[in-house]
Amino acid sequence: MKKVLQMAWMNVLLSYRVKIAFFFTFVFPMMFFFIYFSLFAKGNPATVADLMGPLISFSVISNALFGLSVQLVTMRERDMLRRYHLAPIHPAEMVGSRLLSNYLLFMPLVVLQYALAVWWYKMPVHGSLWALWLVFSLGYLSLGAIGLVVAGIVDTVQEATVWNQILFFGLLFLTGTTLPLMSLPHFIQRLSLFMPPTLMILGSAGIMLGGQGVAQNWQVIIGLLLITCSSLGLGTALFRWEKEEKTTRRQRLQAALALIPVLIVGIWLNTSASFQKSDQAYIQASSAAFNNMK
Amino acid sequence: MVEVHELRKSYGKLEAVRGISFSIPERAIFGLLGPNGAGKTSTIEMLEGLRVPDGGTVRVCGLRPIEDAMQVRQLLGAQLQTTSLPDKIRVREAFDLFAGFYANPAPVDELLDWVGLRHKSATFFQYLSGGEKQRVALGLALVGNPKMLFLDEPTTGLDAKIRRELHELILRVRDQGKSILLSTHYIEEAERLCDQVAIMDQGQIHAVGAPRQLIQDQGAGDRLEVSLRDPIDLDVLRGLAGVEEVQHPDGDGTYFLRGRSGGKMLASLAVYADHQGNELLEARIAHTSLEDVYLKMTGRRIGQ
Repeated sequence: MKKVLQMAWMNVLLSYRVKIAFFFTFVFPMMFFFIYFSLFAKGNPATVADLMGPLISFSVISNALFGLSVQLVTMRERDMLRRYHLAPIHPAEMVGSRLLSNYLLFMPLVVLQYALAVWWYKMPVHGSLWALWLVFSLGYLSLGAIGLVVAGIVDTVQEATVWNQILFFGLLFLTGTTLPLMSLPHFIQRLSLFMPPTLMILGSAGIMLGGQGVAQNWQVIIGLLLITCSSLGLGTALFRWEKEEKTTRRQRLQAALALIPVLIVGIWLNTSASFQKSDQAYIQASSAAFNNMK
Repeated sequence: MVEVHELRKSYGKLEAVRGISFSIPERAIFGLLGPNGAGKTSTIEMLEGLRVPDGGTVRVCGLRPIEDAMQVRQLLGAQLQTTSLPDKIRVREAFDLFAGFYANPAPVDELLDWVGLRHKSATFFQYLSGGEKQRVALGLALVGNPKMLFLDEPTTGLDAKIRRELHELILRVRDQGKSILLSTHYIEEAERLCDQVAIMDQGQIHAVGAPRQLIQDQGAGDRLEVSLRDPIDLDVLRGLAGVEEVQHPDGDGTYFLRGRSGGKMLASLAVYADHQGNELLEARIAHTSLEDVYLKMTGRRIGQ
């Protein structure tokens, strides 16, 4: 654990020293924050609360996917991982440290955006902040872990970018992040429950709009936790130190195993009567926000 | 300290390492001498556990580099041909970070003094010169207080002064009781630093021994390297006074003659060339060195 913390802290320090990394971690998402809430929500506190989940989801998708996988593949391509490979470090420690450092870099943005929304836009505060932190954290970690799987199956930064673009746009438009779930076909609404951003948006809507806590969101939390753990395990199994090591067919098949927990979570949530009930309420609630923007 | 038996590695159809065997005693510098493509780096990387051998056995400090990776890495230090670190990491931070990975690290302040980088502690890696980066690499190789050190062409691309400084550091590491495996394509580096040298070419080891012994086995004497305007028959050269052996590895106008006296060989060759209307364009006399050993063993010059 000591090695994980050391590497994670060093990565946090190094990220703050790279201006472009700082821009994309903080400045760029803050631009979207003001665009969403000033232009789309027109400063309406209720709409701001409705849009908070989708906005955080947008930042999570871009930061977790692009940030983690591209960083790791770049380190591999530039032979930086070789220096670590020679040290007594387990792949799980390296993978864990990358996920932890990016999480530590990202969460202050969530806190800042939430605080600004309350202070500047007078967003009403409902529900358990602890539950909200848990849902956003697990949402970030689950997508970050999927980013690590991407880093494991691709050989080059270009390949990582292609895979991330496909995942990015898929998740952006099919999870309620940019398009209201209600306006999507019923089939897509069912499909979206297989994807972490939807769980994050529905969970945060339940907390921020419905005043819920951890107990009412246990299905979302378990679902995100399951996806995080399985993807992290697979990301570790697929991790490669050397750029010469290429992905084998077996490894790509292993990567497909990451879909199993996602499928289990999706099927479970789609067939859970209690989740379906609250799910529909928050699909409507989050869609209302998009309607208010018109 | 290191035992290698019938080690093999191929990349597709290319056999990079072809069944080599050698051992490295404690407190010694063992050199792998050979040109680029000889298989030196592949060999070192298999010993470090960075590459999986296709065949043969390797033991480093009695452990298997792949199977016992975490234990082996506590005991070995390694300097790669090129060390890549984040541009914005400070020298001190890099040392502190890597020291934290080991059970029994070397004191970082002492190490910084030792590699002469204390005054650069707060400098970002990106602003270091090539020589300073190699010092960082050597320092990081030593930060875990290793028993066995692998140095893969540590002075390649450095100027002569910095190379000499690094040589001093490497000798001091050996004097501290550590074993070192050093790969190089510099003859003088191998002669100066190594207690034992393996002559390596095209994935094979052609000879192993102490540099002086290898040279003596060749027959101590001189080497005359000459360039002639017109080609000359090798048998004629062999028949000249004082010439014991002739080699013509490049197939061009340069010939290598070996014998007890370089002056005597040169004199007889000059007379013969003049008599034949040929012209001596260039001549260089040197004592027999590892270069001659390499030439004899492989039939090639090391830079070829």
